[in-house]
Amino acid sequence: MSTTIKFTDIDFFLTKNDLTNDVNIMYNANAISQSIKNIILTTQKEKLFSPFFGGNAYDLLFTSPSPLDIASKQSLFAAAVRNHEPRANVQSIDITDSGEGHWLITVLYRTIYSQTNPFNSQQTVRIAL
Amino acid sequence: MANPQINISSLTFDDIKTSLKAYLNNPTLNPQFVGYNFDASALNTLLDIFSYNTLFYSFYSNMIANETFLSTASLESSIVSLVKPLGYLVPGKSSAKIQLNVSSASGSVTVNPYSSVFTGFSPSGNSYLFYPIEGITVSSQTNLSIYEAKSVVNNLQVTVDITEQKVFLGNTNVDINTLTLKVNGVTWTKYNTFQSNPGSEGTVYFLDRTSSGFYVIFGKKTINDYQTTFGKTIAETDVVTVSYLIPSGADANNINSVTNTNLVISSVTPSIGGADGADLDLVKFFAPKMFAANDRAVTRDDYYGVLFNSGVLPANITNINQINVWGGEDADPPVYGRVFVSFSDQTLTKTTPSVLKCIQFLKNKSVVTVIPEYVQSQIIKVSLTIRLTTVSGLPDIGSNVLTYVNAMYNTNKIFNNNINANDIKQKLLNAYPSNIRSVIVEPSKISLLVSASAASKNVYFRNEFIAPQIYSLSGTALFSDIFSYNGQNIRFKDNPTKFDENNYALEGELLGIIDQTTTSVGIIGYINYTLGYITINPGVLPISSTLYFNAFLKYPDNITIKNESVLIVDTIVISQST
Repeated sequence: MSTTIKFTDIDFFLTKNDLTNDVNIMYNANAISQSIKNIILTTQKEKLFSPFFGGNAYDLLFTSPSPLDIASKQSLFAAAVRNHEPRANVQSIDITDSGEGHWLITVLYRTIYSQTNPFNSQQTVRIAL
Repeated sequence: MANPQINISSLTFDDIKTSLKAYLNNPTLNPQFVGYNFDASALNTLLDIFSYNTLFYSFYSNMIANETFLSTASLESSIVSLVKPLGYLVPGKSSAKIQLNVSSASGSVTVNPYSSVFTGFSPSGNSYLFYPIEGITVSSQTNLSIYEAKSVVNNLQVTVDITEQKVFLGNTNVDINTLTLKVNGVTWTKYNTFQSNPGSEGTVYFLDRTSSGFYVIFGKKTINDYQTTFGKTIAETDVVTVSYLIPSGADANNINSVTNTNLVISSVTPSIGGADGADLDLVKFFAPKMFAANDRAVTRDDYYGVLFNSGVLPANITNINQINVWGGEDADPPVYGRVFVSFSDQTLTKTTPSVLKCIQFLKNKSVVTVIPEYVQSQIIKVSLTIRLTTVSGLPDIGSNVLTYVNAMYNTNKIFNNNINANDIKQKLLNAYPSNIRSVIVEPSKISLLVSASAASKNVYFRNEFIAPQIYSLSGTALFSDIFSYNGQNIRFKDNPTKFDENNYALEGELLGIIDQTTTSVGIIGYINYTLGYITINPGVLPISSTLYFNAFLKYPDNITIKNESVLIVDTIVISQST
């Protein structure tokens, strides 16, 4: 099955493509995944003129949140992705303790980038804090 | 496909970004990237940066354009710079000023400038120090002006940069109106921008404002004649001293209690005129007028500019609306060859020292044959009834409305005010949109306090009276308070005698009516309904008394007054809720 290129974006880290001597391009799920990571890691009011953009993930660092706090964060992440990334359909968000105040956020989502087979692609984004 | 039109007139962040997105939406121009329209994409972040950069520069350009012109400049530094070519010096802080009437406790007392201390106490109990800037010897009752200062510089010797002929006073809080400069013990005067060349021996200095202080500048060589200086220069052997006050500003206003160990203080006018900095709106208003007038009083606006820059205005006259100037041709009756000046403080008379100073100042500036004359302002009181229908269940706003209307007319008494019932109604509806269902504003009579005079006296209401018809003489347009005349308590009442073609009264007599009866004691004056004034016969009003005259107007819904009249309101608010 061939995959249609539907979404393109440039690499957030502006890495160089040695073949084209240009900045690396991200396609489809890769573009969407870096977008989701951007949303979750942005702190609200950090982005000028968009005060509600972001998931405030860094609040988790070096804290000991209760299960209620974790649930609240999960819904905040889900709402942020839903509001700012219409290409992703979030299936689940896991927040797991990696020890010593660090956390691993795993977002499972489905996306539409194949014209012939919508919602066929289940993707995972892992963000380590 | 043609390039999309770029919208460069909308300069908000969102509009700029929308414009960039519209540009990228063209597949010919942008065949590769389609992720720009998603908030979290890297391309969108780049668009944010471009939009912010564009916004920054558009704002910056806008500010540059605004700050380049006096009418739109908002930064003090810009205004200071823009008014320099107009010969206008923007002052720093201003000292609060108190006028005292003092006498000595014993013998004669010398009051030394910048060193004799007076202590003033504010109503809240804070103390402030006041100093005179002119020395006098007090032996009998004497008027004295003192100025508030939190620090004083007295006879400080300063070093003049001989090459540049200037001294820097590194403090923008200096009250430049209190500056005294001496060279070898002789006081030099501040040069007035519009006076003629003082010559090479003129003992004058110049002041120049910067963002961090004031430069005092001495004689400079003129451009056209290298050998001639514009004012006397300072030599290395000259001793230059300065004295000035650094005030607290507006905090020291409204002080009415002052003490001094050596003087008996018999009267104190509350301190006024203290300011934390220049009123930039006033500077923007007056600087061009000063420049246009070239320190001469020719047009009406010139008088405002000259008066405000004179430094001799009464201390409580700080706002343009507190001054009224009109030509004799606009007076009732016209008096040609005169220009009249009035201040809204009705306690200021022709003989008040500060008023005398102002008139003398104007005489030196006005055109020959035009004589400035002061007219004491008078208060015209309009009785106003406001009927409110408010929303039930919400707190009563009667007292708020009363305060609101008083603030509009009574708090700061200003000239050229008018009362328009519809305007007041609209302002109340805008101020209390959720409380008021409906409002009716009914101006009724206007009242004028008249001082007695042995001679015949004209009293001008400056508005047309209601004119009773010939067939209905029972109505009245004017009545006065009760006063004593020939041993009887009477009041004035009008009696129409001359009518127009529609049988409306034009002129009439003023009858003295014995109180509580209709018995008349005869004709003691006349009334003109159309021009809105009365004439009282000589000897009718008791000497040294004042009396209220009340008149009903033909057009009470829109009352405009002019010349020396200041308008206030006496308001009743009737409130009901439904």
